[in-house]
Amino acid sequence: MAARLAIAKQAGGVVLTLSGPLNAEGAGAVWEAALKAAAAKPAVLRVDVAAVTLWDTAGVTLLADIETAHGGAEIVGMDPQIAALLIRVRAARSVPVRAAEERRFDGLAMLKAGVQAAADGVAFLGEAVLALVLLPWRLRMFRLSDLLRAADQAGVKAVPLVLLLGSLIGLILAFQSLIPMRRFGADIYVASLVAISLIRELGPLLAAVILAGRSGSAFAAEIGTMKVNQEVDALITMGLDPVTMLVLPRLLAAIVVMPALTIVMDFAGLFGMSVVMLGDGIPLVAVGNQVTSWVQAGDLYGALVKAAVFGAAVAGVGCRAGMATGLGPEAVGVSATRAVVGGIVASIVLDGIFAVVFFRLGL
Amino acid sequence: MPDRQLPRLRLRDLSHSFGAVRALDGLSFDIAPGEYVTLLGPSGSGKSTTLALIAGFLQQDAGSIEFDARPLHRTPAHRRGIGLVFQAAQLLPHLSVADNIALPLKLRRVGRAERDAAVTRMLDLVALRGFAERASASLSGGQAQRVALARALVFEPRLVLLDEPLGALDRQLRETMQQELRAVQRRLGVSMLHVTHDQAEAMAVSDRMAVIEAGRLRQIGTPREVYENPADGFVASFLGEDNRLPGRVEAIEDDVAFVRLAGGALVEARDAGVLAGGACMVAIRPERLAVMAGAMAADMGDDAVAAVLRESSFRGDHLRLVLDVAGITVVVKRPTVVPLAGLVPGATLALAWQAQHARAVPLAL
Repeated sequence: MAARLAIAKQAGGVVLTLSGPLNAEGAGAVWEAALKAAAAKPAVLRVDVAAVTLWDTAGVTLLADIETAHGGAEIVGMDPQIAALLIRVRAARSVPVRAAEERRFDGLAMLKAGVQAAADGVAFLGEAVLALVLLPWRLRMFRLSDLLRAADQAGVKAVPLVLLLGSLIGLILAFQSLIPMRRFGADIYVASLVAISLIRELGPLLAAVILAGRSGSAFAAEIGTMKVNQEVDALITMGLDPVTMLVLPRLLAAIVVMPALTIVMDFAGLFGMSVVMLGDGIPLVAVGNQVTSWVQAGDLYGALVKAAVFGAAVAGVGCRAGMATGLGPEAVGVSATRAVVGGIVASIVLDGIFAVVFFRLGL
Repeated sequence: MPDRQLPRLRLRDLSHSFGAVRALDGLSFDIAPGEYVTLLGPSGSGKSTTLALIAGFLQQDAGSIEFDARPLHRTPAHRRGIGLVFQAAQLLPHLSVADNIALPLKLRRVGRAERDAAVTRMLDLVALRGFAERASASLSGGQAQRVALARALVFEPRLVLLDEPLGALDRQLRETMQQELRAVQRRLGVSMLHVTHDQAEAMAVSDRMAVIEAGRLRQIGTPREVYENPADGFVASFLGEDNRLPGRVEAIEDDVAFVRLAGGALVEARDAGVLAGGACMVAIRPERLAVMAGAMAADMGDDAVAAVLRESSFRGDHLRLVLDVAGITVVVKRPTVVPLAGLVPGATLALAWQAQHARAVPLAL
């Protein structure tokens, strides 16, 4: 049996008689006709629901809609339990529903967001440079202990990991290149191959990846937590510059420790490579001669400059992610992820730029 | 409060969005000099956004903020001359209590003697005399929050913003601190804007309270006005329990509406915008309802409404009764002054109220 709606015009009013099951399906069938009758606003509107056999929230919502559309409808023949449900539906409707956020792929908006993020990055760079220029006047806000703590955290505490990773990378690189090189009897050149790739490229890059993973995320999380706890706001109200107090120490610490980490990484890699070469029966003296005759001091200096720049990029991206932390407990995690991804991407992009520049300069 | 004076703070049509989310949508209100206003709303209603805009941590998308008739939007946060107290005290851990309080003056390059005098004055004000040299990390939550208040007041701001300042404290301490906040504010005559989601706290401290929801102002008025004359159903239920009985208006005389309830009883309520003959709700606060049991029920008069007791629970300072009135749940808070016999589940009770304590409201509200 389907729901039915009978509309009867009486003296001075209209009676809507609903019957049958008024569940989602039944209410849907009579919905538009019933609302149309109510929206016509007869002087008196009576809704008779005595013959309704089955109710659910949809049916009660229809009644509430009729009441809203008419403004003074009278509902008769309603069970007390259904009346109670009607009151709850009315109460639920009195709370405005916030429009659901529209999730739609919008290329232009994404492009805009990307440009905005890049502009924010440039603005942050400007702020950091400004803070650095103004540092002599703001020395009271700059805390040396913060710089040392960040350097300890990002540098000294990273040494074991750098040693482990460096020697493993040296081992793997040497081992992998030894197999094809031996076929040409060019075993000895593995030493220079690994040394050059480590010192020129992999040393600074891997150190930057480690810095991004260990410290870029930590910077973002530390500053992000301070931001969420309104500590950054508190500094701003007192007139203390958060860039000078929080960002500069971390930025400078990363710039200082990165070249050192790179050198540690290089030595560890060379050690790993030497182990493989010794295993192949090539004496250490030959390996040493090969490395020193192929690697120039300029290679190392260029790599150290790169390392310092990568450090600045990783720390800058990390601190910026922290400063841009939104509200809520999950925001800190989001910032930390952004810091790691952004730091690694920035380092690799910069490495590409360095490759072009060094090539043009003939270094 | 002197109404004719220029407002200390004037917000006009303030709007702010975070991406696609509209946090504030055309918020306007004023704060008079020396007035204590609370901004009350559920979480996510835009309270803290409003505060961040006034403090200068965010820039509004539209609208204006005037502080003593000066527009604020180009002034950086630390030049606005507004004191701020956050939920956590945010004291600098490496400084003593006195140094923390003196910090705003130090950054404003106030001389040492003047600074020390101001710190002593502030320590007296927040009842922490003798704590000057204590390390700020050794303070309890309440003490730290008092130091934060002193730090916000030490540079004699004309407006102090408080962002859920008592949120992290336990209940008893919160009540003491509410009284202290109020006392300090009265003594200094400073304007305060206090953000909270706790309606009891808002009622305890404010001259006026502004209820906001979804970035819009729902109502602003004295705690009594807002509680007894809520502008809509949201405000009514946010400020405490509110019983609602459906009925139909039979007649309106002066400002009393005679309402025929769904159960058949004819009751009186204050007219709050209903039309004779129309459907309406009788809204009434639980503490305004009187109940009688047993033989005494007959003494309540003809206006009494019959109800069945479903459950009663002891809540220390009151007895909470859940009644069934013709299928509608009604909550009654009964003071424990006069014990009442016969409050057993299933008992039939008589329910009555004074017409001026009930509101007859249109359905849509």
